[in-house]
Amino acid sequence: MSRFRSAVCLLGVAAAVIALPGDTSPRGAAQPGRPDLGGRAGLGGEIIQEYPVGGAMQTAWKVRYAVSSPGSGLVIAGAWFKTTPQADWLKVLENVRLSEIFVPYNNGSRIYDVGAQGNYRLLRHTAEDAGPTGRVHEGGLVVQEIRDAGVLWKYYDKVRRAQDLVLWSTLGAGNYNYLMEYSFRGDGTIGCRLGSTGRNLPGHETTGHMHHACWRIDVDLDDAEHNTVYLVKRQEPKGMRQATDVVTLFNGGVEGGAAWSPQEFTRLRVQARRKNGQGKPIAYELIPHRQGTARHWGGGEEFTHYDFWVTPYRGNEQHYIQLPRFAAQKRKIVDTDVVIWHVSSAYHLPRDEDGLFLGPNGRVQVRGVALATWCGFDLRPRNVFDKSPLYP
Amino acid sequence: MVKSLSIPLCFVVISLLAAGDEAAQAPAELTAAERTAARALAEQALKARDLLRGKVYLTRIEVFPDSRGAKRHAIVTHYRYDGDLGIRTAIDLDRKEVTAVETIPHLPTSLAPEEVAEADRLARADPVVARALARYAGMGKIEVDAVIVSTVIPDDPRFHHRTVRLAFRRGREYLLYAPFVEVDLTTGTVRADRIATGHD
Repeated sequence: MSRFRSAVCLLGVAAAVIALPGDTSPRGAAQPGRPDLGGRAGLGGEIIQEYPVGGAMQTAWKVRYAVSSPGSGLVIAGAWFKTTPQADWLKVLENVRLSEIFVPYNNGSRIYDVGAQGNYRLLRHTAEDAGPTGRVHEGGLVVQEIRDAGVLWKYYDKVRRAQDLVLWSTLGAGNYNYLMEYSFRGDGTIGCRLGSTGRNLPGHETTGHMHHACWRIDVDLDDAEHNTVYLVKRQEPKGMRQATDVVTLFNGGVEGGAAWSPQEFTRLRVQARRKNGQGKPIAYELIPHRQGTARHWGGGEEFTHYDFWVTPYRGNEQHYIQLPRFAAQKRKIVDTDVVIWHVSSAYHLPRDEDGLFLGPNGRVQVRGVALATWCGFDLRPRNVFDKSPLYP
Repeated sequence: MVKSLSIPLCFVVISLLAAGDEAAQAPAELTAAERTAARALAEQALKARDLLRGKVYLTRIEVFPDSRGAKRHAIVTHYRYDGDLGIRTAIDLDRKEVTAVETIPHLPTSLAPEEVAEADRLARADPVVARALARYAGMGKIEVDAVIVSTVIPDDPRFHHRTVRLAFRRGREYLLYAPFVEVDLTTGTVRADRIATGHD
């Protein structure tokens, strides 16, 4: 297959080098009130983004994406990072995708929006979706943006603003729309988020429910065959005057699950053999952004009993809800190729802002949309740099 | 008796068009020949394990590319009404070999096209639904969203049944007077016209 790479000016933002073999101009634009369901096979591309955008390159991301529609939607199919202009590309990710979107309602109803709704497809986006710094690819199925992400660091009279390369798509899930968003920051941070928006489920318009984004994160940090996962906690037991950082092998070094604790700032650390310039092993940490934690107790819902899971990589293990079965094998996850699984959750308690009102037939009607509610996590570098990134 | 193994496959295609310099990317689309082979391999495996009993629908074939050695894995999912059973067959596409068959009771699986058609047919034949939809006769095409819904409440009649929720709409607007409809494909029954109550 041929590879195309061209330097382009990204809507007035210089220094963005983009290779998009599947790139196409927007077409099949959605009609008002009638989104055009996409669903095209064989789509994907590669983007190289340098930072700071518009300045001399200090760091860079190379990101491959793929479209799985119907299926998981927007998939990150590889990500590499450059800590300096002279550095080699460091592989960080092999694959990240939403393995499942699990929607349990408070009344006991259950919907699985990826695993059991095989006809859902990505929507086509327009320039209005993409915003002032965005553009669309793959016939509108994927949006690429450069976003100002606020202050990255500040020290008195010096400051550096953060910039994100953001790739996002929308899964048309019947009454709901799911915004799948992946961001790549110049400091090496990766953000993965799911936004839930659209109409409340007909018949359940007023019933509280969760949207659980069930992520499959195939981290391949440097040499994938030699990654090890640790659980990192900050502990300050009652009565103690000091806190300690506790770093342990995840689940004692065998596959399994772990809970996130708000008191312990629980995070996962994936560590490689390779060391940085200061002699420390390079690592990436999964840091959740959580509103809360939900556990569900129905049969087959054991996959919700932990917030983090780690398994050794197997190509035929792809479905989140089967995690308890996978993990029951108790395989080793030390110094090997690992896959991290994580659930990020949003609770939707219906409100009038969802557009709800009582219709003339006495039934709840909807004339509006539920505004986007987000959940997700960051993958943040630890000792990947030798110094502060993007610092003079 | 396999009822629907000749249905068109609903499959997932992931593709990367960009060639890379770090690792070879596996071809990520299933060719027609590969689809046929994957289906045949799965059916053979299910037959050999005596899993094809009663109504069995092929609901999905997913393919997962793998840059490790440019391998590809397909996962074929069937749904069997007997036992409310999901059956997943893992296939190594390069070696044309079944690597695993898992039976998972009550696994949420996608609807086969025939099941969607059956749910729609049953719903529109229901007097309550037919009466409600008659209000919209001649006002344009009425479409329907079909969603698999399950429940964890043992006393609920939907418990461990193949239940489809149908929401009728014109364009993306759900119909004001259309009932809330659920079709139980396990029993062939229709429930219509539940009224949602207001929130706090």
